[in-house]
Amino acid sequence: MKHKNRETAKRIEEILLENYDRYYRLAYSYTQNEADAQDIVQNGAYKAILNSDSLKNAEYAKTWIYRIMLNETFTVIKKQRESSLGEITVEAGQEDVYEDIDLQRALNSMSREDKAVIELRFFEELKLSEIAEILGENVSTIKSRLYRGLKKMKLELTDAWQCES
Amino acid sequence: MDKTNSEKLNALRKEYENMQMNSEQIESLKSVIEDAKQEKGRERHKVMMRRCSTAAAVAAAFLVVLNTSPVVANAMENIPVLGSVARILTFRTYVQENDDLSISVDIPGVEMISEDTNGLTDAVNQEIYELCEQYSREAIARAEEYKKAFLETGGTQEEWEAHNIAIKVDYAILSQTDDYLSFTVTGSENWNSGCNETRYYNLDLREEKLVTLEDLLGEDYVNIVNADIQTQMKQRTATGEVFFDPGEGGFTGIDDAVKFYINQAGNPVIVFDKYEVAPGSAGMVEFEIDR
Repeated sequence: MKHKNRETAKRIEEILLENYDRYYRLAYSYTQNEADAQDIVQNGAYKAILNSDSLKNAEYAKTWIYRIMLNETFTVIKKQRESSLGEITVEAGQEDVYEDIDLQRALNSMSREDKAVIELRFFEELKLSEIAEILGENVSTIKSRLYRGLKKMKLELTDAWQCES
Repeated sequence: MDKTNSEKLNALRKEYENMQMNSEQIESLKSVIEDAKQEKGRERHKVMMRRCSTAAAVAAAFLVVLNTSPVVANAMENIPVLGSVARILTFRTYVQENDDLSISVDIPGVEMISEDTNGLTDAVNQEIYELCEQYSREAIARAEEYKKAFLETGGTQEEWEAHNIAIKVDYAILSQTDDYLSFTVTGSENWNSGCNETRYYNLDLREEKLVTLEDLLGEDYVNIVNADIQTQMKQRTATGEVFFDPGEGGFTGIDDAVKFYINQAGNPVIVFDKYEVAPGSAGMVEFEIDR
């Protein structure tokens, strides 16, 4: 069993080193701030390695790490929101970067979970079942988040969108 | 889906994927990962140390009972793996077959010890043997626990037997003077590298009893040893050695589990395991305490 723990720890390290950009851009899409996104990835990586023994099945390492990263992200944006209470929030400038302002606005106006489902499904091409593991919800909940998100973005659904790639 | 929608989403995806960590951020992440691995190694080590020392305390109590109670000693003879201490003649292998435990245990026999410690009394040889036995008893108990967990989590008896669980206990004489004999008992368990352990023992040859630091340094031995180690750490830090700060799990003072041997000069030498007070690269760290 000790041996198994070591294998799991090794696997987690490999996944971290292969996918750090994925965690980084996911974090950045919420924080809109490079330093915070970097902190999220580093803290997430540290926690994943330190707690690797608690992951009983290495098959779930990929979604387990996403889950840690997403939790870190949610913690940081919650703090960001709290510290910005009472301040005048300036949201100027950032829209100019995006080619499609409407779609980006729609994405940013979603609940944090709906946004995660859209990004993980369409940008990171994860399966619905994997997203369900990451968010700790069942697949039908993920599907309804997906539909709601797409509706907000005014994008039509076709069968091709729902398939498990 | 109409093309416009697909294009819109692809454009958004491109923006999303544009965010990448720069090389500085990647380097920083890699060093965090290394730190986490080291921290994890130390934590794992600490857990095992705790487990091992608890087991040692239990065994020590057990040994006292064994030595003072003929009833318990007799009862022990009926447990196959413990056997009768006096009847063991050479280095031998026990294969425990009862209740399908399927583990092998190697420990040195009394005769082999007596050849090694030429001129010492039987009581001393017996003591060394007894301490080896004690280690193997604890290792067997750990293996039994491991087997139970293995079967409970879906392992089969066949898979268990394929593990070839082996426990090997050996001893080494470190130093011998007219007054003292210092030796170690080392155990290895092929399934559990965390519990591979070296125990230090010091015998007073005149009184045929185990020597404590208090015997050597007097009542105030804890303060004497702590102060001496702290002074030596300062001196050695100045020459480039690295020790952990107390805050990061470094030396805060000795406890009952402290390891030591007596060198040829008759001074106690305190020994710390790898990672106990200094980075792993330092290996085991020793401090001689002048009497």
